[in-house]
Amino acid sequence: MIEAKDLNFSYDVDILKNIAFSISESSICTILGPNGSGKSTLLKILDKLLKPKKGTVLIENENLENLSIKNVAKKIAYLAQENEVSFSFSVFDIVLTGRAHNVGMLNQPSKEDIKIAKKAISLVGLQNLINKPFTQLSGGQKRLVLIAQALAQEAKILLFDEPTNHLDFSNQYAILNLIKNLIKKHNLTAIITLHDPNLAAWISDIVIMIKNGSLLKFGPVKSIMNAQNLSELYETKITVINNNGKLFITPLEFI
Amino acid sequence: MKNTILIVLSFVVIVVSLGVGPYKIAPIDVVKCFFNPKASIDSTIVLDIRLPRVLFAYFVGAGLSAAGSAYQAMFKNPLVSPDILGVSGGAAFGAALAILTLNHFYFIEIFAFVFGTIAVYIAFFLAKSKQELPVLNLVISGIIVGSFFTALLGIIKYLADPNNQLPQIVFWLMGSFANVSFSAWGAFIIIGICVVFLYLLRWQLNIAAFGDDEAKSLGVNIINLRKIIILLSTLTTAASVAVVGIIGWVGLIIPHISRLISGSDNRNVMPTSIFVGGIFMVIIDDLARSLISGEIPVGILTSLLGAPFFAWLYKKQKRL
Repeated sequence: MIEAKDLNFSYDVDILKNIAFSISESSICTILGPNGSGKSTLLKILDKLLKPKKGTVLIENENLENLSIKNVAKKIAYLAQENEVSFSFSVFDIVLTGRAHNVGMLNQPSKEDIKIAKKAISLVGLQNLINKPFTQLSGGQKRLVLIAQALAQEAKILLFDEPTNHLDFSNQYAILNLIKNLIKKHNLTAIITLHDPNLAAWISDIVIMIKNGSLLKFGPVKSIMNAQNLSELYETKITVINNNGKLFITPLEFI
Repeated sequence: MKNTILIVLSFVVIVVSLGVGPYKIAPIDVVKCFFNPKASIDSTIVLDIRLPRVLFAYFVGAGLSAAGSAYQAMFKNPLVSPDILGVSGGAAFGAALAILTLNHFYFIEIFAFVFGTIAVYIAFFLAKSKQELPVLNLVISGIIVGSFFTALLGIIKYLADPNNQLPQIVFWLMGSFANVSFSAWGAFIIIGICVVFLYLLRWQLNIAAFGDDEAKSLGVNIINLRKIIILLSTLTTAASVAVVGIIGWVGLIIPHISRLISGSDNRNVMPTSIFVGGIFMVIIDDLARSLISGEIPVGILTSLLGAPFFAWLYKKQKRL
């Protein structure tokens, strides 16, 4: 469903080198890698926010290059790491912008668009805060609003850049659990960048490991999330404890 | 509902304002002038002298406020006004240049409009990079262009004849609706069309207030959107300034007041800004021609009211 072929990207130095993978429908894929390894860059390329220097991305066998901005938004929703919201827009105002690809420049959102936005808000459980200003929400609630905005796009593919950023311990699980349920229930595909391999092991079907811009490993959680690969990825000794099929990952050096 | 009230209020304010001035006319007699085709002193004053003035004040107030609302959304900053890209600086230079060289009101308007637009084009050109149009670059290039044209204006003032031309330049810079007639139909049309389009764009302004990547991933061509907003706001502001001179603060404070009334959704802020801006400008112009026996330059009044209001808002920082 999503296929990356020989992706290369560089500013002055090479950021991504020969990245290739393919992810099938209704699966959750996590991108793991140390800081600066090129995870966010890769996500941006997949949403056509950055143009690869070389290589192609195929979305349902269509070349991403040939899709208009509007058509990309119909197929792919993207949640940035940080969102700047400068005015006190309400939760509803923000989620409704998810319908932008369906609204002409001089037109206003239709009743149908409003209905879809409201449904997206209730899918993340924020219906009681629908008129509350975004700026007054907690970090976790803000994240939920942006997930609802992405759901309102009705795209089949969702890209999340560090959705657990700035969230407390239990909220990290709560958000990812919600994402997991939504993806499975609505037959969507998600690509997520994460820093915590524990969360990655718990939520993903597939993992992409990127180190210094190159693909280190790509495959199902069970076959590649092992001590050897993770130690190589993060350049520190890591142990993986398997507790009845659940993986617990921790660096050895510091404990 | 709010908009209906504001539309009704607009009509009331316009009708009452047509009677305001050294020669006072009761609102009921103002209305009669519209239905009585016979020429009288009242109808000459109302229809020929005050109607274009009051209507243009409404258009300018509405236009500057619409442009201000659009810019505040686009620059993601509630402290931005329509002259951020140097349009007023350019227009002031153009008007002064026309006063110095050709000195005919027609050329003053044309020069002010053209140089106002050129100033913004230069700022736009400086800010633009290959595939991007970052708002921070626009702010910086706007400051550069604005101060460059202010320097040029300084040269013109220095060269101007101090007995005749210099006072004319100074008065032009203070802004006034006193000489507006329907001969300014071009400005009426430009402002009218731009305000309609800014009104239609109102929902897109919510998206313009997001970051570049967010807007793009939502399916909006943010660069084109910015270009259109700049074009419409520049034409509106340049057309206003060309006819009536520099009028500050309106495009900054009216969007604030509108957000206090309507919340942050630009679908509501834009119509509120247009109506409140129009009403505000008409009332300010009423004060300008009735407070003292002569005319007070309207730019002085807007600053006199705008600055303290802004100070209050700045202290309060509530729902900016």
